[in-house]
Amino acid sequence: VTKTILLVEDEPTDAFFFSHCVKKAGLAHPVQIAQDGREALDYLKGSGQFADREKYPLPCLVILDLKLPHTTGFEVLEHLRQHPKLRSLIVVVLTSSSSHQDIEKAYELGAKAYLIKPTDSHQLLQIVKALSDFWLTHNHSPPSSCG
Amino acid sequence: MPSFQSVWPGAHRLTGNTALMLVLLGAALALLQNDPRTGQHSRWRGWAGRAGALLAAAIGLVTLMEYLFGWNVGIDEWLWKDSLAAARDAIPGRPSFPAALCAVYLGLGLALLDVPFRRFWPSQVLAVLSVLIALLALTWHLSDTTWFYGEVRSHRGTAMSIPAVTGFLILGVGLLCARAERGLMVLLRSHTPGGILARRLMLAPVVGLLLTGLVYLVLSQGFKVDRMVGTWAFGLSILIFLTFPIWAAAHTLHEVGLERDEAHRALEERVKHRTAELTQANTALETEIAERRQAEDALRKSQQLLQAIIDNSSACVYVKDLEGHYLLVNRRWTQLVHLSNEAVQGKRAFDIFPAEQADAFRAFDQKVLAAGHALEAEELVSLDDGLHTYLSVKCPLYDESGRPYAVCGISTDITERKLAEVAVLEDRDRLERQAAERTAKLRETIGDLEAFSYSVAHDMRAPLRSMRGFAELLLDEFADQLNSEAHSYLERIAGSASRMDNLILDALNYTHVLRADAPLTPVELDPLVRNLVATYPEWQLPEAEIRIDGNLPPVLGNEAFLTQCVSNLVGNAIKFVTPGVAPRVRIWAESTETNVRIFVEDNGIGIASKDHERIFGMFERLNHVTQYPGTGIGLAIVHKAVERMGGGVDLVSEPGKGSKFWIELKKPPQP
Repeated sequence: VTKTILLVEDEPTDAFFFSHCVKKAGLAHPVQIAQDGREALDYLKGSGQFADREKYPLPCLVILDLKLPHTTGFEVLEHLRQHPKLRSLIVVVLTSSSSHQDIEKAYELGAKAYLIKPTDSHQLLQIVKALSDFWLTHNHSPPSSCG
Repeated sequence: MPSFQSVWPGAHRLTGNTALMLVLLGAALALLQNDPRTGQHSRWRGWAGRAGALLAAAIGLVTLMEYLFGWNVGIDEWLWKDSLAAARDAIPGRPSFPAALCAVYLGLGLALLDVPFRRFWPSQVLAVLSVLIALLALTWHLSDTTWFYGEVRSHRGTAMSIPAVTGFLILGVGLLCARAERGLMVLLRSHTPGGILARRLMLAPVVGLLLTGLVYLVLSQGFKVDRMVGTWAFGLSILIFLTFPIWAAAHTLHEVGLERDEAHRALEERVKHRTAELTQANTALETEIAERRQAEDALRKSQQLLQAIIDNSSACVYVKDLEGHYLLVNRRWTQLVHLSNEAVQGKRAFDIFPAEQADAFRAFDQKVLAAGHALEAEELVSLDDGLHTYLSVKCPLYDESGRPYAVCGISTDITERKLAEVAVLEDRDRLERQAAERTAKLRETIGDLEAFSYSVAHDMRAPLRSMRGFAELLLDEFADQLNSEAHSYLERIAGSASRMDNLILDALNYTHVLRADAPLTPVELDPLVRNLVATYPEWQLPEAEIRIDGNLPPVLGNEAFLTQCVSNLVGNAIKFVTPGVAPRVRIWAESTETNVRIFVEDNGIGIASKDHERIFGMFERLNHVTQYPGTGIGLAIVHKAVERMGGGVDLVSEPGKGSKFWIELKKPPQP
C-alpha cells in the first residue's frame, strides 16, 4: 500500500535530499512537494492546479518546514486546525529551528512531532526510515484524512 | 444682823444705804469683769454695771450734799430704821461722810473703768483715793483716834463702820485689779526689779503696819499696857517691818544689778563676737564681690570672644528665646537685615521678615525644641537681592536645671549651591532622558540584529546542509568512480560544512544563554545529571566510564542552563583524552551551609595553568581542530550560564594529570 507524503519545503536541496533518502530507504511512498505554505494549503484543499485527486491524492503524512515564503508553517498549521476535514491530518514539523518557542507553538497548533533537520545525510536517512516506520506502517491514521 | 453691822458692841454700825452702795458697787464690779477668754464683757453687762455704779455714786453724792448743806432729803432710812443712832450721837441711817465719799469715788471709778484720760486711767486714781480713805478710816478704828478725820469736821458719830471699811477696801483693790493689765497694777504684777520692789515695799510694810497697829490696839485696849511701852513697841515693830523688806529689796536689787552686769558683760561678749562674725562675713563678702567681678570680667571677655568669633563667621548666627525674641545675633546677620545688634534686641522674626517666612522659622524652632537636639533644614529668606536659600542648623540651649531657654541657629547661604544643584539635576535629567532614548534605540537595534542573526544563522545552515549532503552523496554513491584524492577533498568539504554548522549552533546557544529569560528555581540535580548522561550513546561503557558518586543535592538554578552546563562539561571531559585512552569521568557534589559545588573530574590531557582563564572566553581553543574538534564556545556558554544563575565556575588542572572542573551554585531556600 502506498501512502502519499506531502513535503512542504522551499529549499530545493533539502527537498532533494528528503526524496533521495525516501528512495534510498526503499520506500514506495510517493513524495509530493509544495514549495511554500500557500501551495501546501492549495494542495490539501484540492484547489487550483491540485484539483485532480488522482494525480494529487490527500497525503497520510505532511512534513512541514516552518520557515516558508508567503505563508509560514505556523499559518499552515492554523489553517488546517480550523478546516473541518483537514484538522485530523498528521503533520510532522521538520525544520532547522531548535527554538523552544517554535517547538511549543508547533505542538499547540496541532503538530504531531517536531524534528530538527540534521546536517548529516545519514541521520536524515534514519529520520526518514523512522517516520515511515512509525506513521506510515505501525500507526493507524484517521480514516477520514488518509485515503 | 447686829453682829454683821458692827464688829464689837458700841462700835459704829453699817447703815442701810452704805450696805446698799456696797452691794451696788460689788455688783457693778462683778458685771464689769472682763471675760478672761475674750478680754471683754458683753454690752448689757457694761450698761448694767455702769448704771449700778452711777446709782451708788449718786447715793453717795446726795449723802455728801446732805452733810455739806445740812439737808435731809429723807433717803437715810429707806431700808431700815436706825434705832441706835442716838446712842452714838449720829444722824439716823445716814452713811458716814468717808463712806459716802468712797462710794462716790468707786462709783465714778467703775463708771469710768474703761475711759482713759490723757496718759492715765481716772478709775485707778479714784480707786486709790477710796482705798486711802478706807485705810484712814481703818487706822482710826485701830487707833481709836476720832479726831483723825470726818467725825470731827462733819458730824459726830458718822465714822465708817468696820464692815464698810472692809467692803470699800476690798472694792477699791478689786477696782484696781479689775483692769490689772494696765495702769498701776502693771507695775505690781511685773517681774522687773521695779515690780518686785513695789510688791515687797508696798505689801509688807502695809500688812506689817496694820498687824502692828492691831497688836497695839489689842494690847492697849485689852491689857491696859502702858502707853509709852506701846508706843515704843509700835515704833520698834515698824522699824523691823520696814527694815526687812528694805533689806530684801536691796538684796534683790543687788542681785538684779549683778545679773545685769553679768548680762551686760555677756552682751558685750556677744557684741564682740558678733562684730567679729560681721567682720568675717564682710571680708568673705568682699572676696566674693571680687570673685564675682573677676567672673564678670571673664564672662565679658568670653562674651567678647564669642561675639568676635561669630561676627567673623560668614554664616548667620543667632540666639532666640523661647518666644522667638532675638537675644544675640552676629555681624553677618545684622548686615543682611540692616539692623544694629541693639535694635534687634527684643524683636521677633515677625518684626523683620515676611510673615510666611517668619512662620516657617518659628515652626522649625518649635520642632527643634520638641526634638531636644540639633536639626538641619533649608530655610528661605527674602533679602535685598531676592530670595535666598539657607541651610540652617538649630539646636536648643539648656539652663543649669536642664530646661531649654533658647534656640541657637547657624544659617549658611547655599543659594548658589542650590542653583548649581538644580542645574546638575537638570543636566542629569537630560542625560537620563538621552540615555533612555539611546537605550531604547539600542534595544531596538539589538532586537533587529538578533532577528537578523537568527535568520542568517538558519539560512546559512541550509547551504551547509547542502554542501555536506552532496559531498556525502558523492562519497556514498560514486565512491567507485573517485580516486583517493577526490575522496579526501570531498571529506574535507563535508567536515568543514559540519564544523561550520556546529559553530553556528553553538553561537546560537551562547546567544540564548546570554539573552533568554532564566528564572531561578530549585532543581533536582541528581535525576537531571543521571538522565542526561544516559541520553548520550557515546558516553556509555565501554567507550567511556562515567561514575556519579553519591546523591547530588538540589540547587537553585535554571534547568535548561544546568543541562547545558553539565552536558558541555561532561562532553569536554570525554572528548579531551589522549588518543587510545578510555575516558573516565567522576561526578560528585559537596555542600556548604549555603552553596553546592558540583565537580566533574576526568583523566584527560589537562590544561596548563596559564590557560585556565582563557578557556572560558569565546572561540578560545587550546588544541588543533583536527585533533579535538570543537567550536571553542562550550566553556564560554558554561561560564555565562553559571554567571546568570548567580554562581561560579573554576577548575584545577595540570597537563597530563586530568582536569577537575566545578560549578558552584546556591542551595534552594528551605521551605
